[in-house]
Amino acid sequence: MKSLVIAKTTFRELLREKIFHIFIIIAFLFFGLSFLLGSLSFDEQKRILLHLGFAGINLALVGISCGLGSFSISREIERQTCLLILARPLSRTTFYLGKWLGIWGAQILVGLGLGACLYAFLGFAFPFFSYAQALFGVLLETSILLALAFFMVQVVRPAVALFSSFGIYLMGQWLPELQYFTQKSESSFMTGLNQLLNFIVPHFYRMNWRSAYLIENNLIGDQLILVTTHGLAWTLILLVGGASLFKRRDLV
Amino acid sequence: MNCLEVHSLQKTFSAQVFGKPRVVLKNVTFQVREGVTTGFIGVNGSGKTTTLKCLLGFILPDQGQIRFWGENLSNEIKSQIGYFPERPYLYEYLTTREYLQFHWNLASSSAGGFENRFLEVLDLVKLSGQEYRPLREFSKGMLQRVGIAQAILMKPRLLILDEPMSGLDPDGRHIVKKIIQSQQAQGVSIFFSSHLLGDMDELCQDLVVIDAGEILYQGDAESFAAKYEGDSRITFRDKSGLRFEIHLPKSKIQAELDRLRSQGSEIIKVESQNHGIEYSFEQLRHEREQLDKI
Repeated sequence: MKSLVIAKTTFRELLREKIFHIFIIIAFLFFGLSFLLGSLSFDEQKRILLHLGFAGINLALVGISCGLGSFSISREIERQTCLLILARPLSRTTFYLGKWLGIWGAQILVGLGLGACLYAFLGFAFPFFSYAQALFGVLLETSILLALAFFMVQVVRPAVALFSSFGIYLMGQWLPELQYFTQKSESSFMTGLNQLLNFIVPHFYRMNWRSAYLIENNLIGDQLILVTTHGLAWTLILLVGGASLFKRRDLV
Repeated sequence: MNCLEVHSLQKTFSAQVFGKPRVVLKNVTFQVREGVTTGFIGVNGSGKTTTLKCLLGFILPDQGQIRFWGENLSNEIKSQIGYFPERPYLYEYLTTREYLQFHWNLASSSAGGFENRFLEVLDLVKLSGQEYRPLREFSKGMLQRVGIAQAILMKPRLLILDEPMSGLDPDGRHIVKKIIQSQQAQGVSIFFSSHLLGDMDELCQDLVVIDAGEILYQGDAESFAAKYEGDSRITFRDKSGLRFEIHLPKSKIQAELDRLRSQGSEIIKVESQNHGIEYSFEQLRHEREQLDKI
């Protein structure tokens, strides 16, 4: 319950942050760019708009996850804001969870807002349920990525956490390519590395449903439950791990 | 009865890659009496803030015991403590009302009673009429008062304040002093750190003195101020009518008075100079430095 109080305040503060607005502007710039590129094509305008539009939403949310996730808690410690909160009758875990919920809540709002704008720009041309599933995939990615950035910042400095969480995100997107190279190389080292990365890196590529082909043909449904479980499990693991590190940390 | 007992507190910050571990608290032991204002004094870097952070569990000590009213820190204990750290950042986009409502919601299970207490506290910190102003528009002194308002919002039994008057102008310090005095009058135990020793003279009954992570003194403030009395001053007129002043340590006063009288001088006045806490603090530190050299 107290996590929700912290989440609400975090959410409210965040919506007024300049950096947050910058990411939203970047997403709209992508929308504008997709209109321009789309106009170069005769019959693929909608596809180009969909792909670039989703890329804009994804970029904005990945930026918010890595940027705010890495700096949010460390900034609270540095400015001593969290001390005022933690002096209240609540645990560090409650605070940690509240911060995560607040930022993720703001991301959901931005994701849904941008998603609705994009759907309107597309002239409601794609099946709604499939389109919503693709958007859900983006939000699921950001939930893991935000938990990952929160976790990383308990281990390393915020700037390092930002780059390392983005690096892990890219790895998670490129796991199928690694798999392909592993098969081609036939090296035991590559096989081992591939197995290790598949085990320790969240499978972000599985949540990437931002393709006109998948949306038009309603192909997402089959994987939805499995991938959602995978995403939520990773989020939970990272949150529990990060919170237990935060509990043992000196707030200097 | 003691509201706070700290016993053998030790803390060492681990080293960066090539640095040495830094010992910041060495066997810190002291008590804070219930209903009494206790000042915690020391120079910058002496370990005041680290000790205060250990009390509330923000820094985990390597060793030692901290007990509030005989119990370990818990949520129940936390609900009886008001805390204000040194120069914190308050959420600047929130208004005074939103900020204090946020703290009320964190500390209390019900929203009832907030309105009355909010107005009462706002009046106490002299911020009436500022309910709907965002905190980013406030001056430093006003922000300090909002911070203190959140500390006293839940009517705590113990107030822990870290440098509450640091960086304030004389007016701001005066208001903060008044707030502290109003809490004293209500019987709240107050433990606050400061390096502005003049304020300690006015506000504290007890003192804890820390230097380089070690407690140098624990006891009542008056005894501390008297511990290192300054020189005494004798003003006299000699046989020829000329007026003189001499400064002597207190121990030599009587002998000097006898000598002057025997020479036929007229003693005008004898004053004992009490320099207060600041002087005693300097003397104590000086003594310690001398001992360290040996």
